[in-house]
Amino acid sequence: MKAAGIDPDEDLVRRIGAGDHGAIRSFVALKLPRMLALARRMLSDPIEAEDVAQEVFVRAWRQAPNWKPGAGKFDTWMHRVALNLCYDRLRRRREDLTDDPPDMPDLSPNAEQLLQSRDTASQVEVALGALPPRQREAIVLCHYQELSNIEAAELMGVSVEAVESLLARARRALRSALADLARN
Amino acid sequence: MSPLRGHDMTEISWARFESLATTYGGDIGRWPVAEREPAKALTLADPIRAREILAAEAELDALLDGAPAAMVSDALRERVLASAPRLRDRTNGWTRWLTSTPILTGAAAAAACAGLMFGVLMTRDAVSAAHQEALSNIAPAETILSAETSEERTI
Repeated sequence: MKAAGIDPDEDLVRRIGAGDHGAIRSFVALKLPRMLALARRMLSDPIEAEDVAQEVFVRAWRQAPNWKPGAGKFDTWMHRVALNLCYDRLRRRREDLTDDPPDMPDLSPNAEQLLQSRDTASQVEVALGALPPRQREAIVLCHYQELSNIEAAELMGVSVEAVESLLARARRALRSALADLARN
Repeated sequence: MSPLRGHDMTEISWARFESLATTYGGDIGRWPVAEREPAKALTLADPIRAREILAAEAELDALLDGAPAAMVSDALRERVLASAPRLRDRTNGWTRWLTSTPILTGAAAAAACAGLMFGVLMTRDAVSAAHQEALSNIAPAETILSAETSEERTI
């Protein structure tokens, strides 16, 4: 887990704010995979994940010139933007399902889908997609994005104890869903 | 665990060790910073017990890590770069100001055209003058021959 406090991106963000071409390229190389991975795991949809990642950067370009050093980590701010965008889309999905249930496909993966998945990667993706959103968010932030429990708690607006509870439940559910795979 | 918990701790219980493993996984390096050292100390105290707890969680970690992150396509990267602000390392502030003002841009274009026309005309005149001078320096062949003949005669 990354140490809280000093922002490792501070200099890069300052240079982006000044329109430094090299800094912009470095920043995209560094952060785009990270934002795409976050959105992909939260949404389980490659197209929507790309849209979210792109939008995060549009907002980052606007934010960089006004960013005050010491106001927190820019990476954490980007995570917050990405998570909000993901939740907007997840909420829209639920509303669509509620508005027009007969014509909408069931987006939540089930055991059958899990068994039909071709390989470990897709089975894990299906199992992650089947988690309740808050559990998925906790495991994505702490395990995959490697944020500290404190950073995850701040982003999720809950206590560290709540993050730990969500993480433990998420891992229990994933262990159960992937048990067959582990045995093989 | 509160954010401060662990800072004052010198040791953790096996129950906490197990709880941390089922929460953060089988790699102590991914546990909360404050609890890593006490956890390592406990591991040294009873390596077999610690290994049993950690191995079960490491198995799940390996499965989770078996799902690689999505690859960034060239198209997405280009879209993101295209959304970035104007790049200042290619042009200085004056150039950007000039090129961003339509009237000044038009004036610059007109000046460039005038300069080009002037250059073309001057070049044409210069070439013409040089051409004529060159022609005047070339004596007709018979004149040269006659000059050589006259020299021979002189000798």
